[in-house]
Amino acid sequence: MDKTKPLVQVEHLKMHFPVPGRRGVYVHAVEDVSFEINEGETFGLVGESGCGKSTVARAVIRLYEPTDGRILLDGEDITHLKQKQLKDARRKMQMVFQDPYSSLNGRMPVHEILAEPLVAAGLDKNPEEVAQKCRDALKMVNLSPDSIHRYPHEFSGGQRQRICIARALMVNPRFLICDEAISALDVSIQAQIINMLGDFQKERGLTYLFIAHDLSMVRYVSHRVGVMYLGHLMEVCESEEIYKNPLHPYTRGLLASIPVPDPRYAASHESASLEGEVPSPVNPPSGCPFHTRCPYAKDLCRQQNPQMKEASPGHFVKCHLY
Amino acid sequence: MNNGDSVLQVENLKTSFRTKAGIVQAVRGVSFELNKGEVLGIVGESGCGKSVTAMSVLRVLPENARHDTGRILYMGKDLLTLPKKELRKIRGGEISMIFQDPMTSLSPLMKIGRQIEEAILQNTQGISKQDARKKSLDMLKKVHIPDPESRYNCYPHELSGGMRQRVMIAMALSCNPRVVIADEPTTALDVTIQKQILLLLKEMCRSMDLSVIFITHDLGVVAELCDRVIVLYGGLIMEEGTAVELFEHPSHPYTMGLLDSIPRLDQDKGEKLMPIPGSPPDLLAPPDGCPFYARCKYARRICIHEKPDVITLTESHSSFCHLLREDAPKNNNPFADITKSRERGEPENG
Repeated sequence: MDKTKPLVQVEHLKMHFPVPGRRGVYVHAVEDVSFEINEGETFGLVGESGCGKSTVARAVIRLYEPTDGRILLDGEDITHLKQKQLKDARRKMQMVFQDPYSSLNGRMPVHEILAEPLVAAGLDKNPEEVAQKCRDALKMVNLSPDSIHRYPHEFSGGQRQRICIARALMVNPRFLICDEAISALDVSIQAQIINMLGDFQKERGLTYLFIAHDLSMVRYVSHRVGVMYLGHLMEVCESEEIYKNPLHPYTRGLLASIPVPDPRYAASHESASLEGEVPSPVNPPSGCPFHTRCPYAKDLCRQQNPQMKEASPGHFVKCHLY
Repeated sequence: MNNGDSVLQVENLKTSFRTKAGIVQAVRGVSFELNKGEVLGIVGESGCGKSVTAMSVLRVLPENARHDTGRILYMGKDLLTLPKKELRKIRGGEISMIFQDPMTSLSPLMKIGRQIEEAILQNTQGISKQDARKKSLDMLKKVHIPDPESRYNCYPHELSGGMRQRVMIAMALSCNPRVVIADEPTTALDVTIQKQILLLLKEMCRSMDLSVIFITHDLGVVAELCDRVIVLYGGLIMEEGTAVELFEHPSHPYTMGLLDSIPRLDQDKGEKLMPIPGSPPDLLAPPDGCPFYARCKYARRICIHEKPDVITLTESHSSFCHLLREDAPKNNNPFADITKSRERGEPENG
């Protein structure tokens, strides 16, 4: 891992969406989010639904044009690229979505699905080469190369997600975004996909942005983890650190809420959960976004949004307590 | 667990669906008992038959479903053959259900307070409208919905997912049921909200003396809430035991595989996850023998053709696996130690 050279840099990313029919009213989906992902690294983003983690992903791959801030891929500013140049940039970055049912076209056989990224990138000049590439890609994700003429409905959920991953890797990207890519799968199948993604990283030096709401899975796959809440990045640190030494009260609440697969532990630790619910991003609270649910909130938290601070080397937290 | 305390007995339940592709044998002979005051977890992956089992109890399956054999006994009555009219009295009253998605199980056109009131009026004889309204407000208070008087007049879309699930729970508990069937009630919720709902369910079980069938795919949730657990796979029971027995002495290769495929927060990151290879069997043509043999790393020839019989390990713990038989070979057998100690007549847990 080359520590000096980040592959992806997100700087002060802001993403606001207008609310239809209400002029001047915006959903504050992402507010001032900055992070870097090094080459060959897996960066995990966790948070509850509506915290903006998917919006970050979509802005990074430029499915959205950011309201403010910059996104750099391999040193190149891609924040406001137009269609043509964006296509070139997308050969370096690809995405795998949550639902393997809706992200594959049911009317296309597998070889057409897999060839699409090549077509989009203009790499489909030689049909035989394309067919060979499709077969290789299927082999790579442990599916039979003979199934290139089959249709998505003939595959199970786990197999479909393998096809989605194969498709994303067709153009040999360096950066892959997995947006809840395993959340819809059964546990035994999740582990298959996770191990496969890990192998690809070792073999090809792939860089991942791994998004999930399951903190134990994110901790397991990621080198570093970012915790999001209501559009803000609250804490960033090494993935071991997030479990051993969580600093932000929200991170602690999140950790305490995860059901532990150990009945004796559960019986002896009846820990309380976080009270209340996530406020609306249309009308976010003043000051720290978490103060409405934070057990340690003081007046300062209600008035002033804390800055990101480096509490210990490599461990960043956005909280007035530190 | 003694039989005198059981409130619900399911005996050799077989449920199948007629579809264009053929007959899907979703549940293929499941028997269990629900004891008074316990939370019984049914776990398994999608398509293992856990929801169909639960829905069979109240006969709320679609038209193309058929109960081929089996009995479901509640208070001496077989729910599978009970006339519709009598079943209606039990359904929603004495046995109620909580579903996964509260948005689709609540009516979007009716205020939530009225919906709970309706359930009460349906299931309580001779109750006046005023009393029903009072009861409905009480229930909203009981499930800790803040400001119940004004929430009473809300429509479901005005509430968050967690609040809607609270309304569902309030409705399910409004008629003082004896048995509650909860089908993945927290799956659609965020972890912090899931925790709130699990704590609420725990509290309700204690205060209302409920017996609960809790269906989930999440082993963490099982550990958190359930007293006893049944592991289903391919429409059959693989293992049954108390939660502690199952997590500390898993005695079926499938249960062991499930436990190995989830990352634990305290697990060393160097450890690789151990997925179960392959995918679940096709229930249009389920295998003759053990449904898990194709994915089992310990499978033997006998597993392909012969369905394993139940092997009792302790009073509460049993498993359906050929490898646990006393005459099973000892090589490549994860249970070699258990079978040996059983030969010597030692209890499993030492």
